[in-house]
Amino acid sequence: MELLTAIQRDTIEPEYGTHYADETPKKARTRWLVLAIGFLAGLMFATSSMGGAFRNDSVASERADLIAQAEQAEERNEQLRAEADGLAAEVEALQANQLGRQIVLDDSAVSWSGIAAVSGPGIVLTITDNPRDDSGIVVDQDIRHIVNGLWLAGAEAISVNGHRLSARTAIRQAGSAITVNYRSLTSPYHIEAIGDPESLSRSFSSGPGAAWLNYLKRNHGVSWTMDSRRELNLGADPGLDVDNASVR
Amino acid sequence: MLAIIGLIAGVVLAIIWNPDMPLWLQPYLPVMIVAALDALVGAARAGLEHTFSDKVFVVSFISNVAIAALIVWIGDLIGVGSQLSTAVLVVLGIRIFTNAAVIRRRVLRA
Repeated sequence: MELLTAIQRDTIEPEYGTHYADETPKKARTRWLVLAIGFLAGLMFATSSMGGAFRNDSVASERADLIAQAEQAEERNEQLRAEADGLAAEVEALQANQLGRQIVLDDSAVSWSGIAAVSGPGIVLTITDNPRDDSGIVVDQDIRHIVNGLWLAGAEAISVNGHRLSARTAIRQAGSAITVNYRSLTSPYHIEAIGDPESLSRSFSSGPGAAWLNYLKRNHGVSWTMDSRRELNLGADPGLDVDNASVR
Repeated sequence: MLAIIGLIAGVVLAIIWNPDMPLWLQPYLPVMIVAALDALVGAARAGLEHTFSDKVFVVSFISNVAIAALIVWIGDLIGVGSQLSTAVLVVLGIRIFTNAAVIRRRVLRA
């Protein structure tokens, strides 16, 4: 209790009232000190009130670092993919050179296998998550169903957001993202399928793929559209390669 | 008077310059600010009572701020940093209020 009374009683530095008050000489130096102290106090108040002191710099910079790292990795991935594409073309050219002839692949084999870029008429499905509903998020299973529906409807080549599907393609869920060929995608999903647009859209609409999409639309608010295109260009799947076999 | 000029200059400069507080100082800044406020209000009261002294002001300001930061620092070391800073804030808060009341009585006579 005495402590609290003392706090209230001696609120001012007791020295203020004593002999210090009347030492008028040699004031020049302490005067500047007073100015400096006032300056310091103003700096402190303003800095803290403007939030400069409490900006969560470390968190923000860490976040920026991570984003930069992810972007860098993505860029590197892109570069490597381009390099792989270039090397694949080179291998093809060398093969043709060595063997003295172009390896002739059946056209349908080329398009179905995903080994080379193809173009032709087809349809584009655009599927968009429902942002207002947690259950309205498209998952890997949905994409698989739709892709299978497209194959069933007679599609000759399919790509999802620009990633060509081949026999080795995996459409998987990784965290909250769908990955195709191990690259993550985000909504909206553009599924391009080459085939006769008319018959493709007709048999897709009456097949299990459209049924699945309509189910998603009805129950989870996922929106989807189907357009036919006269010309679609689908790249090759860069993941296709021979692992164990070699030429004798 | 000089203290007020310095104060205004400091505020203006901080607004223009917008400095970033070093990270290690951040936990101590709130307590240091309240300590500084206490010294300023005490100085204002002394000024009104015509007992203001440059030396006492400078010394009390620096020692208040330093001790406040030191107490919180020690508190952090022994794991009661937030409690100790509360204690410092309570004591300094009482002082500020009492001094402000004295100033109010002198200036407004109420």
